[in-house]
Amino acid sequence: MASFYLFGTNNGWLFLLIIKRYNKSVIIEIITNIFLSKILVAMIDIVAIFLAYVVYRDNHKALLNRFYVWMTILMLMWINFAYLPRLISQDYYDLGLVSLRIAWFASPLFAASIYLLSIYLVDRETRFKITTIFVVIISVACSLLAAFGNTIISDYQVINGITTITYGSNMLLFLGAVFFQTAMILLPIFRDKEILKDRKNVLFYAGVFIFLFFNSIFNIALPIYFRDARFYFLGDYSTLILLIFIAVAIVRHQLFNIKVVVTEILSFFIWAAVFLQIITATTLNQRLFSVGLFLYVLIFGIFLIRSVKKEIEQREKIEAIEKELQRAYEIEKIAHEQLSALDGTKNQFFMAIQHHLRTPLTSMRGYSDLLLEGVYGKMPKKVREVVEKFKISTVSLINMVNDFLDITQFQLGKKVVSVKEGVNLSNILKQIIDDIQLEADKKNIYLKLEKPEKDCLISADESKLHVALVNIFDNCVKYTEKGGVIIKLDVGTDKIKIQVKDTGMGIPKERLEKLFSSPFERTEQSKKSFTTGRGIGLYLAGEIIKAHNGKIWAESEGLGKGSAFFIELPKN
Amino acid sequence: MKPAEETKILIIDDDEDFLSILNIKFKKEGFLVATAKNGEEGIGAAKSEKTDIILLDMALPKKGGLEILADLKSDENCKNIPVIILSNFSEDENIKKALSLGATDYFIKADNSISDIVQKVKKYIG
Repeated sequence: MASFYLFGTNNGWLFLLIIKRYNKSVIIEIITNIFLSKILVAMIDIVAIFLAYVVYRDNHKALLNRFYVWMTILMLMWINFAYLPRLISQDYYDLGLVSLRIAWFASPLFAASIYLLSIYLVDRETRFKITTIFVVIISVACSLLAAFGNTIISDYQVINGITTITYGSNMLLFLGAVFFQTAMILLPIFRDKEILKDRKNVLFYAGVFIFLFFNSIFNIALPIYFRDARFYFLGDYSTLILLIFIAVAIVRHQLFNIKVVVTEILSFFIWAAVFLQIITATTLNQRLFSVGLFLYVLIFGIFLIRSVKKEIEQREKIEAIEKELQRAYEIEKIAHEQLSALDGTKNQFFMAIQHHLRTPLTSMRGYSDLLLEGVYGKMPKKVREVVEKFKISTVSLINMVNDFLDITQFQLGKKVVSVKEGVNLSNILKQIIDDIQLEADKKNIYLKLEKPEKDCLISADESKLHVALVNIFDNCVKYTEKGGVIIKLDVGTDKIKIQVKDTGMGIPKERLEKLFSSPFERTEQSKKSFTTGRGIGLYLAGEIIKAHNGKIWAESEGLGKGSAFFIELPKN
Repeated sequence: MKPAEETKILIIDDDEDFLSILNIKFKKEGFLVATAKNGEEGIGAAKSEKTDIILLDMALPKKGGLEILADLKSDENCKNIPVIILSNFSEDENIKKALSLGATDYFIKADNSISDIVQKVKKYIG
C-alpha cells in the first residue's frame, strides 16, 4: 500500500529535525500559525464574501455572476474546513478528520468550477461537450473519493498549529486528476492565443496562473519534495487571489474601482479589529467602550464608502458622457470627411463637365468663325448659310451647357454670381431686345422697351444678369401668339425695377408661386405649346436675381390673360 | 497702340484645335504668334523671346495654368508681360485666384467668338 507520509508520526525523526531547526521561533510559530492565521482566515472569509456580494449585486440574474457565488461557497468550504482541525484539540480527532475530508471534497469541485468558467469565458459555451462531462465526472469522483473512505486522507495530525496529512493509497490518482484538470484549464490559451486579447480572459488566466503557482509550490512541491508543510495554507489561500481576479473580470471594470475597494477593505479591517476588541475585552467598561467605538467606526465607515462610491459614480457618469461626446465627435468627423470627399468629387465632376463639354464646342465655334471669315476660301452662299446655322446651333448649345452648369452650381450652394460695379443695364436691355427682336418679328408680335433710360449703371454680374433677363424676355416672346411684349425700366434712388408685360397664354394662379422655385417644371399648357422647352429658364433667372439680392415675381390673371414679370435689383 | 505687326503673342494651350484656330486668326490679323503646348515650353518661350502678351489656358498637362501664371509673375523677365487667361473653367474661385495671381483678365473660351477674343487682346496691348 503506497502511502504519502509527509509529517506523519511515522516520520517522527523529520519532525524532530524541523523542531530543532526552528527551535528559536517555535513560540512565534505557534502564535503565527494559530492566532494570526485565525485572523488571516477570517479576513479571507470576509473578503471572499464581500466579493461574492459585489458580484451578485452587480447582476444577480446573470449565469456567470451566480456561478461565481457557488465558486465562493466551494472556496469557503475548502479554506475553512481545512483550517478547522488546527483550531480544535486532538480530542476531537474524528471531527477534524471529517472536516479535512469536507475540505478535500470541495477542492476538486472548485477546480472543476474553474474549468467550467474557462469554457464559458473563452467559448461563451453553456452546453456541455464530452470532454466537459469527462472533467466533471473525474472531479466529482475525486471529491467523493476524498470525502468518503480513507484512500485519499487516511490520517492527520496537528502539531504547533500545522496540519500534517497522511495520504492514502489513491493519492497518486488524485494528483493525476489534479494535473489533468490543470491541463484542461490551460489548454485553450495554448490552442488559441487570440483569446488573450480579451481583457476578461487575461484577468481570468492571470488569476489561474497565480493560483496554480502557489498551489504547485505550497501544496505539492514544498510538502511532497521538501517535506515542509508550514506554508501549506498559502496554497489554499491563493484561491482568494483567483477569486479576486475572476470577480474583477466578471464585474464591470468601473465598479471595481480601486478607490472603492481600498475604502471598503480598510473599513472591513477596522470593523473586524474593533469587533475583535469587543470579543477579547476583559472588563465590562472596556467592552462597552469597544461597542461604542464599533458603532462609531461602523457608521463612519458606511458613510465613507458611500461618499467614495458616489464620487466614483459621478465620475463614471462624466466619463460616460465624455465617451458619448467622443463618439459623437468621431461620427461627426467621419461625416465631415465623407462630405469633403464628396465635395472633392463634385468639384472634379464640374471641372470635367466644363472641360469636356466646352472644349469641343469652343473648337466648333472657332472653326465656324474662321470659315465665315473666309480663312479657308470663299464659300458658296448656300454653304455659308449652313455654316451660319451651324454656328448658331453651336452657340445655343454652349449657352445650354452654361445654363446647366449654373443651375447645378446654384443647387449645390456654390457662388455663381460675381458682382462688379458700373454695369450698364440699359445696354444689356437694348442688346437683349436686339437679339430676340428677330423672333418677335417672325411671330408678328411687338417687342418694345418703354421709355428707354440713358445709361442706367448698377452693380451686377453682367453676363449672368444677361442670361437671367434673356430667359425671361425670351419666355414672354415664346408664349405670346398675339399682341406682344412691353419692357419697362423704372430707376429709383437705390433700386431699379424691370417690368415685362405680355399678352400671352398667362400662368395659372397655383403655378405663380412655384414659378421660380424648381427647375425642369413646366405647366401643362406650356408643354402643349412647346414640346422642346427645358423648363430651366425661369428657375435660373430666379436664382441669378436672388444671388444679386434682388426680387423676382410674376403676376397673371390666369390662363389666356397674359402675364407680367417683375424684377427688382439693388443699384449697388 | 503698338501696330499688330510688331506685337508678339504667346499662346499656351494643349488643345490643338483651339491653338490652331487662334494661330490662324491672330496671324490673319497680322500678329506674330508663338505657341506652346505646356507650361515648360511656354515659360521657356516667354523668357527667350520678346513677348508682348500671353494667352494662357488653365487645364494643362503637368503644370496647371495657375502654377504657370505664378511662375511667370515671379520671373524678373516675364512679370511685366500681361497674361490673359483663356479657359473653359468658369468657376468664380478659379477666376478670383487667377486675377489675384496677377492675370490681366479672364475669358471663358466658349463664351467668346474668336473676333471677341482678338478685340479683347487688342485692348491690352499697350
